Amino acid sequence: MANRRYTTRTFALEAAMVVAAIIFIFPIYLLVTIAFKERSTWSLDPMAIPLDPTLANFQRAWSDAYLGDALISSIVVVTGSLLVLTFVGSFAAYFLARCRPALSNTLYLFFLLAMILPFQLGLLPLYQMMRDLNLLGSPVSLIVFYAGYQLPFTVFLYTGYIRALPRAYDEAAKIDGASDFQTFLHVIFPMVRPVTGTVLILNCVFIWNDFMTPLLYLQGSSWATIPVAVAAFVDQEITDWGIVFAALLIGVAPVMLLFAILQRRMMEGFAGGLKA
Amino acid sequence: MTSSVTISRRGFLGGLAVAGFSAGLLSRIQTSYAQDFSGELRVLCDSAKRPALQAAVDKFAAINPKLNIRLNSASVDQLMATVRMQLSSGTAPDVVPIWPGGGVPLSVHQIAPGGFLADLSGQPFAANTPSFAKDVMEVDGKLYWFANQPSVMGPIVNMRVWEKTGLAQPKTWPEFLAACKTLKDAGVTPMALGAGTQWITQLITYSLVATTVFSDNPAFAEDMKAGKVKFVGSGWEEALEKYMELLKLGYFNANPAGTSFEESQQLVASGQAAMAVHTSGTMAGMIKAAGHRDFVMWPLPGRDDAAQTQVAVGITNGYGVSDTSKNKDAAIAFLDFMNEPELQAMWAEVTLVPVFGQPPENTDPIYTELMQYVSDGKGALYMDNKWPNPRVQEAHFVGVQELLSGTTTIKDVLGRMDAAYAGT
Amino acid sequence: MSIIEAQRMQLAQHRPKTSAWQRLLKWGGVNYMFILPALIIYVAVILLPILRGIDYAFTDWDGLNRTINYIGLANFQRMIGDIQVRSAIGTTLIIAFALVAIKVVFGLLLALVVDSNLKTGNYLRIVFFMPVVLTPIIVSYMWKYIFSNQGPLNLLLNLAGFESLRWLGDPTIALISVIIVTAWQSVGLSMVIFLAGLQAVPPELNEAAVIDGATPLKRLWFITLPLLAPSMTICVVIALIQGLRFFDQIYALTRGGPGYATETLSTMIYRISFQFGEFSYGAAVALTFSLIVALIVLPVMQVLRKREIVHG
Repeated sequence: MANRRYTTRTFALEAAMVVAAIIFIFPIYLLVTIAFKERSTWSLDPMAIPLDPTLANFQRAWSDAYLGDALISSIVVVTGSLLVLTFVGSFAAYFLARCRPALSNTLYLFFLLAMILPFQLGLLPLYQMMRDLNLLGSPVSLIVFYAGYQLPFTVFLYTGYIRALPRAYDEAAKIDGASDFQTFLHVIFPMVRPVTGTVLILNCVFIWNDFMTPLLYLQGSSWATIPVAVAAFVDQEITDWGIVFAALLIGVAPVMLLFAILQRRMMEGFAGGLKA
Repeated sequence: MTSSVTISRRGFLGGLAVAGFSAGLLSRIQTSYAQDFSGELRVLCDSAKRPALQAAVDKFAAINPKLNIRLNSASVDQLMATVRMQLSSGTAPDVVPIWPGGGVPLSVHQIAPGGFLADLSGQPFAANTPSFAKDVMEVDGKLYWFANQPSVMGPIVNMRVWEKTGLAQPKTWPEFLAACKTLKDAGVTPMALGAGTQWITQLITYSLVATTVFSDNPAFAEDMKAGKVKFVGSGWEEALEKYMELLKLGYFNANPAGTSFEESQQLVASGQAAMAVHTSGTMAGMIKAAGHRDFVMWPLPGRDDAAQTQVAVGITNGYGVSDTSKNKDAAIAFLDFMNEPELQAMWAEVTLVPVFGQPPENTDPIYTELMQYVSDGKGALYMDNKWPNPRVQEAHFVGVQELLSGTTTIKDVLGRMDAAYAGT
Repeated sequence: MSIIEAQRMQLAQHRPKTSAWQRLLKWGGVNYMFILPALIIYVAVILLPILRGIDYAFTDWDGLNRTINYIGLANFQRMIGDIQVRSAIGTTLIIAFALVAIKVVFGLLLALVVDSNLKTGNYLRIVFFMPVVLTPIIVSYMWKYIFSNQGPLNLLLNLAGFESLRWLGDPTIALISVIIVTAWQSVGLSMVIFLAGLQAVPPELNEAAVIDGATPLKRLWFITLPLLAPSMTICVVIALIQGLRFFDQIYALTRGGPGYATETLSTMIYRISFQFGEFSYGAAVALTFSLIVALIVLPVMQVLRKREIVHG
């Protein structure tokens, strides 16, 4: 572009933005540093860099908040939900993208209903259904919930992409004698890998972070997920913020790590994925 | 229903005779608990009780090796939100936390009538039920839960701060205000108030109405049920006025409605504030945060006449057995086991709260004076225990927060409480 | 009739039947087994429970009783007189519209700046986006400490010579605090959506405008913004839905207090249904709530879509 020279004004803007970014990220700095401070340190000066970091807070938080159990629980729920969502979602999307347009449009609207209807209304009846199926208190209940709740979004994401793929691929495979399923699994599914990445990232972040559903569904079971376990721990009236922050930090560390590895993909995913 | 509620030490220690087993009897009973219980036993408690319950679970597990006991805990808010749903769905843990009276969602009077809890009237601990709390613990003469501790409230005073000012213990409301002034002039926050945490908002009111309402009319709760009295125009007004007087005189920390319980506890523990009106259940946390035991819980005087002073007393939450439990015998045996003197003593040690069935001299000195009031019949039962629904308490919580922020009037708050009581 | 003939007859009888079935199978164009699992899960997990939930709104169920009675519109009548619900609707709308405004304005500004020729552009976008992926309930507990009386924010104010503020204790400031936390966590999302939109602005258009002597501001107004209209739609709709629904931040920061100052419809529904155990009343409020959401979101989408067509 013509006006892309780096002028003093650009430098001033850059400097201002860097300052703004530092202020913006300051809470995260606090989150990380206070977790390494003893009470005497953080209560005097919460903002200083911990020169004498302690790991004691993490030990306390890890054992008192049962974060080990919660971590396993969260991983089981996220993995299970992602597996179901990816396969059921992409299969359905293939159908929507390749079936008769009239049918496709009808089904599209049908799935869109979920976005308009309030899911809070369904929380309790669904809970009763889980009970009847004997799934309560197990992570399966949450996997089933997320498989349903995130399904329309997942289907829309896949459908848009598969529609754009030329039908010539399918037809070539069918001429070679492949069944619908073989065509999908061996030809289409590998080609939609970028969407699968987006589906995995967005759903993973959403499910990992969700608080209200596991709060209601896994209470009193040994399967509390990370957000529920952390909230229960912080709510039990602890006066040592160092320990609280250690629990908070352990709780967000997995998503932070994921973000550190995949920042580009995640930003693209969020920008593009939510359009679906 | 007993209409004049006198609370006596005899009432409290009604179970003493039953609980005082001889050592030989104890060993016999312990072997009787070690039946061949097997399968899974799920126990749920609030997070604050977890340390005490964990110890009991570990010991019970040791004598029942085939039983797989899982203890889970959650914050009180989370329990209130979910256990009801679990009970109605038949998916509740075997042992569930239960509250006395009818004022919160997990109150025994809300849960038991639907047949969701096993009848425990025949269990040994049924004899422990203090007479003053019979009608809030029992439902239609039957006992559905195990509760082993009273709960008392009043100003928890940091004596290291108090003694520096050389003040005497205030015995009347004017003396209390004068003491606060001296503290304030000495640069200490007289009272820490963490009213950003909802349940804290009610404590000062409760401590005051014990005197301003119940010293005049011990049967206030029953009269209210009969429609003879209302919150508006009662001693509740006087209590809230005194509450707000403390605010106006600047005797609380800044920003009480935005201060959490944790912060208020920290203020007292560190000595920045002299005292905070809290419940006995929070004492262990206070001592832990302070790193010393120089605390005492006093009665909060509410009138000019010291003889009128009364204290608020109640029952802490306890444990019921879900009626749909698949391991009901084991669950009941576990509650019986917790009633053992040895376990009770341990419970008292962990929670620093007196336990039913323990001799009075075992009461921690922190509570000596307060418990004297209780045994002299100067206790008033926690008010919400006899309210018909959770909305009255809610109206009180929210009303106090709004009073502290200056966005409402005392009359309006009490009017809303009356409306909630009437169920409109 | 010989056996062979009989068999042939049977086949003949069966053929039209089979082919009708097959025709139906073929009609969709793809094997129905592809869509079946999704339909089953969707109907069972989303649709049926919601329909049952709507049904509860017309009953007196308290979550505990074993008998359920239909009471017509009584729950809705009660709601009309419920000051708390009315105040929650007001608060929800204030928060939602404030969030939309903040997220669109700041998201757009950030996107424009980060997309210009700054050397640190890539790092900046990572910094501003990061809070988006972090667990809301955990982030909110962190902010609770930052807002506390002797927390970092008041310490900084005091250092700068100002009085401490009652961040969570004053009804008005508490509302602003809740909005700050939510905006902090989600402005990065608006930013990346606008950034994606900016990639779609053809550079030739801007170059041509520069040759024509258009100032940067004019280029922004007449070229960039109109082309960003689709991103704007997404941003506004997402911000609006988030703003109307959010729960975790209030649960952690204020529980709706002080008083009912930060009580929104979603926290109110939680409180009514799960803390008071008034499930049917909670369902009625939830149903009304979703009607409100639909009444606001759908027209907004219409208006924005129209703008897209005019400019696009």
